[in-house]
Amino acid sequence: MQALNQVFTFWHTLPPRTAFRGILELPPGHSMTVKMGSIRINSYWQLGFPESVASSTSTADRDQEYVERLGELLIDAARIRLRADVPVGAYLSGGLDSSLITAIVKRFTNSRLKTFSVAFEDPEYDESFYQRQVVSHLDTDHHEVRCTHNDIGRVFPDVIWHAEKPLLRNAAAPMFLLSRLVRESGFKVVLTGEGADELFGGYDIFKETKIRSFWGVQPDSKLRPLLLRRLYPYMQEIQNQPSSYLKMFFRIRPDELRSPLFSHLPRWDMTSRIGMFFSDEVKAEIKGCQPYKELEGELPAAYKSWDSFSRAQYLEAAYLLPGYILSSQGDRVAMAHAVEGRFPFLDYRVAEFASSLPPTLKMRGLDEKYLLKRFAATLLPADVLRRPKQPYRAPGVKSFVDPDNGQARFDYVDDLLSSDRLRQYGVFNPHAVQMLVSRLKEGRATSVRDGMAFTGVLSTQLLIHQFITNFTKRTDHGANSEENTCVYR
Amino acid sequence: MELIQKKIRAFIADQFLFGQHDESLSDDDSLIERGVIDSTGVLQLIGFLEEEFRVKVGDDEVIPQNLDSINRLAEFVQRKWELHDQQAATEHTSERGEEPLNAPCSIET
Repeated sequence: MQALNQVFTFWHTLPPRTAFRGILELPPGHSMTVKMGSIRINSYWQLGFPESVASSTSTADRDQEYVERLGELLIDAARIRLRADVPVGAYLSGGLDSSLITAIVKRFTNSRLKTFSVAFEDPEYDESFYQRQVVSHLDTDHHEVRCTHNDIGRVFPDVIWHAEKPLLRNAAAPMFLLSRLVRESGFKVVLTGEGADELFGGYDIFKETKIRSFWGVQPDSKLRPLLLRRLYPYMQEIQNQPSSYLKMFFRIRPDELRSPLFSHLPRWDMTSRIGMFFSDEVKAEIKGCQPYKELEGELPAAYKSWDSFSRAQYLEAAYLLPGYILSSQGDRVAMAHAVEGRFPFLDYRVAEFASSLPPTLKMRGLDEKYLLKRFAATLLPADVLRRPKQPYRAPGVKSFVDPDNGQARFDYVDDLLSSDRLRQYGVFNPHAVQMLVSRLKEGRATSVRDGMAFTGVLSTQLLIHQFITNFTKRTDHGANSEENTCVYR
Repeated sequence: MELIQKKIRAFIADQFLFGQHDESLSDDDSLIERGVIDSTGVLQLIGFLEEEFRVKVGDDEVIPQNLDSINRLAEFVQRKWELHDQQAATEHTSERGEEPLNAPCSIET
């Protein structure tokens, strides 16, 4: 239950814990030696940052040196990842990171490079316009899988089977469909742009942290909170929010400003509220759990000496990246179709270089990935560099229920979310879940939190169904899940 | 006042707690700090006040001081009604008292 509580706070369990009792996983950067019945676990690499310095000045000359050094490292990191006895393709999201990797690979492959993308029928999420721009500039042999809501909902049970943990978003499902396309195209290895946002300061949570820290210096300022509206231009919920409320949502009370987890409190607080859907029994069992304390206890000793930007980077790169992005949304769904992902940005030399940079070279003002963009400008056209950054997102609840006709799209959704099944598995409060589901079917619950709650409940029910109550029926362990017996289709 | 509080409590339990009763939530607790309402919640709350109690909530009134606990919400509604009554008394002294308490009002702020 502690694991479930961690997932419903951080989006993943904290290693060595997994969703299953008695099954442990190695933390990132660790190795295990088993010898004559004894087990030794050893940390071989850890992300770290330099101690916070009062001001980090940068000069034009020094910046240029950094750009050149980054170029050398990244090109070599991509080059050595092309060593393979099979052809290597690349994922292309249309954003800066994967475009840059693709551009580098183009320089080092003689054969025509194949690129692969996810596109969405739902225009709110579709980035194929930008993907085509990059494809036309780099002249790659491009393939895309265009996902409908039904496609996503249909494969979700398989995604949970491979992820082996509850998920609060369904964004792993399109990645599952993408790896299937890669496999069907005869490819087994792809390079991707994962890791750039974490290491070079691309995510909005870093901007959010900067603005909140800036605001925290003068909590009564009326102008400082307005900067928050510049974040998340794609999120109407934030844009419509009265300013006086932003302050409360973005947690800048003095005790919150002092918290070592300051950067992530709004996200985790919001996520952990979906625990309200747990059954009374589960609530009683997790009552004394303190997931923040559990995470705080793991932080490296030097963490306290880092600036707030680096701390936010650490929390993102040491936890969400391996626990969710590279795992549930990355390796698990790629390996579902025996596709190996390779990540040049996560080359330890690139990571160590990035973490040694002063924060101003990662984010200058609110200009994200400053240094990386300087280098990318040598290889990519200006319109790719200038496009507004958009995180990868997939259509949420609409993949499972259709508000236009008020129905679930699949029988498994109705079955697993029925009162009987919820009561049988005992994890969630049937009445509360039923209320949520009917609101979603009617299109009346639209908040991010409602969507995460729905996906979290459904994926947990799927996990229990496939791994505990119906485990023996689920026999496929390989790449061709289409042909094998699945519990749910 | 008690009736207002009761209606607000019922709305919050239904809308934000999905029918669950949170015994630890007192009438003075901050709805945001307790995580009861999320970022869309504020707008839902305003919609509820306007529909249920027939008050009009001006943009500058959308502040936690007015809306961020059950008691603050109830007091806010009460104040709006009193203000409406006073205005009505000034404008139509002879008609005062004939309108029901929750009659539609058009208070602009």
